[in-house]
Amino acid sequence: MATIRELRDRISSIDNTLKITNAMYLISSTKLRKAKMELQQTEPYFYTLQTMIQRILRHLPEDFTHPYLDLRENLRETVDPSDYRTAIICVTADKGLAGAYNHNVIKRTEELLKERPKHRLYVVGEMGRVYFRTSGVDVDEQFHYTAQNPTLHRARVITGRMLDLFQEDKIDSVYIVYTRMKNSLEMVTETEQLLPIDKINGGILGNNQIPMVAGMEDFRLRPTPKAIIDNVIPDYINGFIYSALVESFCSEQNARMTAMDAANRSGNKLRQELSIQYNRTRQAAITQEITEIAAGARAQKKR
Amino acid sequence: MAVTPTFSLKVIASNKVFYDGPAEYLQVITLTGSRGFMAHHAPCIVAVETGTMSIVKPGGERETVVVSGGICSCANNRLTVLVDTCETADEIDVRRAEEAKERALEQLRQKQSVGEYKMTQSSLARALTRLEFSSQKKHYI
Repeated sequence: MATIRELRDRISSIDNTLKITNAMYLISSTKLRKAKMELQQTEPYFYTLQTMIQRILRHLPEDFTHPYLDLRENLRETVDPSDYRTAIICVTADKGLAGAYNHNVIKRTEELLKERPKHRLYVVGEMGRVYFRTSGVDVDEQFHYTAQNPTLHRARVITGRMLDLFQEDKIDSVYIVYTRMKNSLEMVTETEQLLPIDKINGGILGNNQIPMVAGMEDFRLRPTPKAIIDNVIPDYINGFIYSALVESFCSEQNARMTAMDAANRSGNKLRQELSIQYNRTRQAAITQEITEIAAGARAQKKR
Repeated sequence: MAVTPTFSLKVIASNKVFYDGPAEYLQVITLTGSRGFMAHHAPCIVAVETGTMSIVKPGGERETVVVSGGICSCANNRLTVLVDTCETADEIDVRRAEEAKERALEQLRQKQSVGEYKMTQSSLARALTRLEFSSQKKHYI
């Protein structure tokens, strides 16, 4: 049986831990609210952009080619898809204690790394960076971005980097691994191909059907289709990366909130059990003392 | 006097929906120069440059804002403008724009990759437009 002192120490240590988890819960819930608001504000832009791109791609001239739409067809015939030089952007959190959030992203990224042996890895967030560095994966060291409070500017920098690599023919495709909020409770880890944009299959854009009502108005693309693609694709990639960052940040806070809530609950449970045990032990000690005193007194009386 | 026909206009920036409603006239800067839209414009898609954009609301009230690069599409008397940023004169932070301009000029002097060069160029364009716009505003007052 544990001594009273040991129990008391344990209870106070649990109390201290509970204070931390409680504070983290509160912090992540406010951060989550902020991130959700940001997400709501970007959503209209992002969805309109997607439909707009679909529309433009539909109206491009038949034999139109552009560096961003370059599927590296000459490569496709000679090289196996697994030999494509691939850039992978992996969005993790800066800190742990967020349940399975980081592990899910890392696991998914590792699968992709195995699939594409010729890769360059770009990690957003400290957790992923530390993990991949210690496990000996080649991580781009110049790529230092935090996952906290995503801004449009940060997304722009990342986009510029990726487009640069793609145009200089250093990589053949760009993937992003991030976490999406399916609804306010459920999160899904997603892998998406950012570049090249597949004109025929639609790539990431191909999921939705063209509505019948949309009709085929004859759009005039001014000044030239190329100028429009030049203008809109970086925006699109930028928008995608930004919303991926925001979604991930949202999911991170949500995961941390759930994890901390669970920690709070089990901490409280443990504390209750221990305090019952503590009270019993204390009571037992008191009873013991009383019996001893009573026995002593009786012994005195008899004399 | 006849009522000027209107079209439905949506101006969406990356962080907010700036305008959603009827408008009489819209003027934007495109890659090939300024371009105006009125009701029942022929369907088209144009690339929008960083610069000022003015909206004439029904009744003739004019609102001028600064937008950065994006795209504008027009079909069935509906116009959608998608831009990175969209700010009114009050929202522009002159000092920040000034700093951004300095920074961009500094960076342009250094060796950069093509992408970096383009990015610096566009941030310089944004800063200059903001500064120009806010100085114009002062003149009117």
